[in-house]
Amino acid sequence: MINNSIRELEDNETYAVIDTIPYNDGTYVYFSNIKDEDDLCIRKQLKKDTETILIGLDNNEEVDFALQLLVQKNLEA
Amino acid sequence: MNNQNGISDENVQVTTVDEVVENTVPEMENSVNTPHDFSKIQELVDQLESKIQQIRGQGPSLELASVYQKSVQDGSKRQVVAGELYVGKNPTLAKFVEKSRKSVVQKVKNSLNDTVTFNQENFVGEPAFEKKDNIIRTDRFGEDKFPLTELDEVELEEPKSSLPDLSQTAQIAISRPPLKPESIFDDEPIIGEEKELAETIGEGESQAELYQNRGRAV
Repeated sequence: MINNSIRELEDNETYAVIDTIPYNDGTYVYFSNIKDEDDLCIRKQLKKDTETILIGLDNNEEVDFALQLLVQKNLEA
Repeated sequence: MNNQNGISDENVQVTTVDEVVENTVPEMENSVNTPHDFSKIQELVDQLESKIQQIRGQGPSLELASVYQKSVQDGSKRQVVAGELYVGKNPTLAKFVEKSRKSVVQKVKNSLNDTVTFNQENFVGEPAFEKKDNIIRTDRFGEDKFPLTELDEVELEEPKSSLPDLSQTAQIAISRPPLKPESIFDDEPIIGEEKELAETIGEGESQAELYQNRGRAV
């Protein structure tokens, strides 16, 4: 059974959701390539009316911020 | 100096095998009491090998440049998803997720540096220039360059008695109303004053009366 925790992204590679962290109006979603765990990327999950969409982050600073959230959540847990 | 990924090498803390050897060998030399204490030497050698294995096990740091590209540039197009994404419940996938998450978190921790912390402060709107402003003020008005105590001790010289007191002259000049342009024509009939006198005396007076009254007024 394939569920929503696997997603094919723009590079046609299949990624698994390894974590989600709510922040402000959306949620940061952390993907790891199922063939290469070093292949990491982050998206924002937002709700637009009835749709749920994934969009990229605004800039590298926001990527750093999202990575900090990931480290803090998993090292302090 | 930046590496090929655009990440500052100065901010990435990497412990190399050479550093471990440099730090451990002196410790070994100091700990061994006699040259024949082989058991102690062997114990320290084992510790050294353990540390080396530990470092090798961490592997290389995460390629942050690739994460930036995938997260910002590749994610510029929005994707509609059915329902909310969540961490998978599939047993096989769950194992991968757990393993991958631990690995990624450790590598991200190794790759991030102090600059990221600064960026985080900026991202949540913390003031970033307060410290810089203080530095500028210190440089411009610091005690080393412009001590205020020296400025307070400076006294102005008294004006010499042989010279006119220019300060009083200046006060008189200031209190006096500005000269009217007509005043330089004292010997000539003054049109402006004529009008004022005519208003005071009333219209219909003769020119002679006008000048006569003007003389009284003066």
